[in-house]
Amino acid sequence: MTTKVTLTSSDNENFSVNKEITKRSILIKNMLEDVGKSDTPIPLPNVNSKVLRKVIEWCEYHCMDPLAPTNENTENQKQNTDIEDWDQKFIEVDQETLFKIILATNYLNIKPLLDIGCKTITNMIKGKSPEEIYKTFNIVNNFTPKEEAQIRKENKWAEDQ
Amino acid sequence: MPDSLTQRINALLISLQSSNKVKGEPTSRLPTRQLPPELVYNVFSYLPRPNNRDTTWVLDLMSCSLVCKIWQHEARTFLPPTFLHTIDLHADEHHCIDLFRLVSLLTTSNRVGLNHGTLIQTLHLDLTSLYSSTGSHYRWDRTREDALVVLFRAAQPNLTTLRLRAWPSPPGELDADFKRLFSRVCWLCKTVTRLQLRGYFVTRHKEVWFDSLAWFIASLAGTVRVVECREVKLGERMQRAVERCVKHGAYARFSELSLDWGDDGV
Repeated sequence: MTTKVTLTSSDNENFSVNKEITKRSILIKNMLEDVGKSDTPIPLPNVNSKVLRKVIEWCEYHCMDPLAPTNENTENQKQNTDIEDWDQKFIEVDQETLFKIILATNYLNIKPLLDIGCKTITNMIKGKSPEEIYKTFNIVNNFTPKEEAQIRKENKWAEDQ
Repeated sequence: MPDSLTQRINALLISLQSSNKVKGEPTSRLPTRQLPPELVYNVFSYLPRPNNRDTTWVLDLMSCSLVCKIWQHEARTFLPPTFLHTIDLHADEHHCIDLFRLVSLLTTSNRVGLNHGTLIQTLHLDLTSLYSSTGSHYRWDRTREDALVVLFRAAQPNLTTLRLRAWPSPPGELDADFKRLFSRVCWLCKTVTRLQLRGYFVTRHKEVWFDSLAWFIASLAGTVRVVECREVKLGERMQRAVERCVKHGAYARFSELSLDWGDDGV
């Protein structure tokens, strides 16, 4: 018999999930180990129901994957921005959701999914100009003359070579 | 706390919040998709590292460094300190830096006050990259010439080494184009102290073309301290130009010819 765990999203929606599946999240895995046997729902104040549903979907699909060792991303893995077909389709979401998934997986500590999200962003910035990146991600260019002078000062590492 | 004081504090808080809001918000109403620094770092770590002469990675990171302060800081941790010290502009497009993208980034960098162009110290320029040929017809690339002038302008403060290469020798019919190019960039080379000449194939009938180059070399007299000629044969005018540099204190160094120049060499 599989044990279920209840996860509560920031908008108070409850998700009953197989305990083994929730262990893809290092955060939840550690919480479960700390708390021991308990029926109390686990609150996830940083993840809304829409994003949590997506994250659970990913964890369910990848439940049989071997747990990735933490902090051991080899150079070869880093060089590879390819994303597997299923994951590629999974991550084809609007940008706002993509960013929320990345932030949620960072909070939940699900490294393989975090890497997929980051690789997706990497693929979006390749070959782009700064202006195209501002527009794509709606980022404000916050360089101001005073701060630029400071950055130039910090950039001295390069000029001193 | 008296009501009036509470009201004043609330009013101040509201005005503070609204002023911060105006400052921090992007111009459009879309939400900012900004990642925290550690995730920006993670994103950059996936940019494919360069292999051999692939410079796309450097330009991607340079582009990222011009987005905002967080991105600038994180990109800097990846960029090698010497990332712009030497710019290679070969004729082979697959192996040379994307000149147009580089120039565009340098322009943005200049606009936001970061002046990445000041990091450039050495420029390797293959003069044959400035034109293309179909059969016996040659076509000068004016857009590339303009981009090159912008690059010289950006690099002007700290450009100390200029390597000019041309192999095979450019055709005489492009003489006017080369003259214009050299006259546009010569005043931007006042910090060049080392001039390197490589692979020129000089024949009598091509001396005309080298007139413009000879004029350019002579214009560097007094500035340039070392003239290095490798695998090069100099025509009469070119020799006079180098001699002029020597007269103004430069040291000329010739390495042995390793190429078979044939019978029509000067």
